[in-house]
Amino acid sequence: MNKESILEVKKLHKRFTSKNITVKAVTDVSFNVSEGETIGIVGESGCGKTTLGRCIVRAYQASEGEVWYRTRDGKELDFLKVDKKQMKALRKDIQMIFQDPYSSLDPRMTVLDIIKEPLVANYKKTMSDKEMNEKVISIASKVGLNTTYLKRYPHAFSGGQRQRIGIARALVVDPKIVICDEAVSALDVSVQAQVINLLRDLQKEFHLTYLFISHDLSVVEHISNKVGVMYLGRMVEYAPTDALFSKPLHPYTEALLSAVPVPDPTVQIDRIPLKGEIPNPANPPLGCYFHERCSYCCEKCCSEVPAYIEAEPGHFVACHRAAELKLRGFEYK
Amino acid sequence: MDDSLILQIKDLRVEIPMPEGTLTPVRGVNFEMRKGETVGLVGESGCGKSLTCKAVLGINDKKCKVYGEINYNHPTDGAQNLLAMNPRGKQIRSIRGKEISMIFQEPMVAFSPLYTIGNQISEAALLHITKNRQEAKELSIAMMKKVGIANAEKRYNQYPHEFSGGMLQRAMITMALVCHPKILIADEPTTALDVTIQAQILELMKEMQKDSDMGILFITHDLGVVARMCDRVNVMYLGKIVESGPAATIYADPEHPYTNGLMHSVHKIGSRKKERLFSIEGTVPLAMNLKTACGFYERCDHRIEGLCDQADPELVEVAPDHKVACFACDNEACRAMRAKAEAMLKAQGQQGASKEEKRHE
Repeated sequence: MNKESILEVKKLHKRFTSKNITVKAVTDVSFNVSEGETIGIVGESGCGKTTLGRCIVRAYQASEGEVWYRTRDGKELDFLKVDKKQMKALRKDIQMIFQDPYSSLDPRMTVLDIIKEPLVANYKKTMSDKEMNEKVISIASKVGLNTTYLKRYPHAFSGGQRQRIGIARALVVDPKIVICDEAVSALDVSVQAQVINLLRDLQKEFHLTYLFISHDLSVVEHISNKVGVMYLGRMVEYAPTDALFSKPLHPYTEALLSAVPVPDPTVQIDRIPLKGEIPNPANPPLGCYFHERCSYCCEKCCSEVPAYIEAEPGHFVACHRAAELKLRGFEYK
Repeated sequence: MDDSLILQIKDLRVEIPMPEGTLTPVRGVNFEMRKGETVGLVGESGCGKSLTCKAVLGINDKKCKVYGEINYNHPTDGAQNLLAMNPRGKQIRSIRGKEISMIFQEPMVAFSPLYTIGNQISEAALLHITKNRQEAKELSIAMMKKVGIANAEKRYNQYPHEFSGGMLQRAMITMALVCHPKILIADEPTTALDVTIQAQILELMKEMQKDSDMGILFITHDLGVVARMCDRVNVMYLGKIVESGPAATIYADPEHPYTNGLMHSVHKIGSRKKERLFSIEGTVPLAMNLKTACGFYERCDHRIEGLCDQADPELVEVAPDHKVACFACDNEACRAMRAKAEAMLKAQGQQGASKEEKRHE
């Protein structure tokens, strides 16, 4: 493992099989995460970004690959190979915040019980009920919940408040890494800004590492240090945020950036039209997965899968023509 | 009604009786649409934007009570008040789907899974244009080709589950446009779609508008989409329009504190500003048992105690074509409104006080 890394994903694959059809949801994804960073993962629906997150927390068992994790005492462990007992101890280090604040909270549990549940699962033997309640109250006030309402049920809270409950539940066991799977997508703009600010404050306070999965490029650009772009289960580009947005190396990233609606009517962007739609992941095209929709496609692209290489320091890309193409990104003012 | 206008909404109110009281999700909405113009209706969930556009078509839930006036400038019959018509009558049916049609938010839900796409598209043509099935099919297929559905003849006989999300939204646009409507209402048409597909659909809508003189009422919460699509923007909050004007003005120079907050709470890519996002504290209150006050009072940074919580500001014109409803804005029209409201409150206060005195005597 790299010295600064807290998490290293290496050649991760996930295949789902039903009857005779095999869908490659995640194919050959590798990246490093340093401590205290926020990594954004973007891509269209069906590109495998949620599956990637779920494989890392081991909610899905990955088909192949390694996820190296540096524990609190400095040991390096392959997350995917540890046994059940060890896994249980490690689970609390990687927590998840879910997309839909309406369906991810049990309507029959009080908010106090919801936030307390991870504590009960992890520290039943070592913590008294009173200590747990105190911990819940302290974390609830940190995320901006009114602690007098903790005995209420989730239905009494608004969307933004519910997402705060989900955040409190993830943070109550002091995790090192938090996977935010579309954590702000279901919220209104004004509330979205509140929750994004909260996530950033909490990151500073608890020294958290975020894996921020989202389809919203402007949110990702705001919050992330590094961004990975996924297409049809593959990571096609991975780079520091500024480099990726100002100087993309993959044609798909370029097209994706040009499609983002900018909240300023005076800005005219020449959109790079993408032909067609995402191909069927059960039957991906030969060669580069993107070649059918790519406007820079050459002969090699149709037959050979491009290697995922470090084209510039810290800037990874999987495209045959990355070196020769001059792609357009956003101009930073 | 002015001839350049195609739609005029006057003091639209929607009330929903509930066991706990009356919900008023729309509380007096006024706006106009010119021919060939794209008007945006922006606001957060629950601000009444969907109910407003459903009222135009008369397809609100039965328990909704709708008041006000919605005037449609019929090309041959002149101005007509849509709200005065029977929502299940012949007259509105000849307008609904023919003159004014609608695209819904989730194409996966809006289509019936039991009928072929072709069947559902040609239904509109059969109702309004022709009685001949073959002709309706030809019209539908021609329109499908126009909106960019490849293999239209084959696609015509397929079921919705065989379409992807983006293609279904194209099919829905076909359905809405097959009768060449004068007004197209688009209720969050791209919210459920990916950015690249969203860009395709927005482009398509613009193209279709260029060919005809169609007005589009575009409902969305996405400020980026509005900037790309709309000529004129109406910002809604808690059932009222708080600011209205040309898109360029609203984006460059927002007056109302809510519009201002909205504009600053979205991150602009490329601005390199990585500091905290501006956020509007609190949440939208429930539109029930509201007292006379500015709806935004509790969340506003510029509120004036004793005024904003006592009187509800009206929309006043602060510059040609730019209207704002706020007491605290620093311009002539708003200051005049503020002075008027303060005088009125003072008079009311004195009246109240003198009544008290009389009672004491």
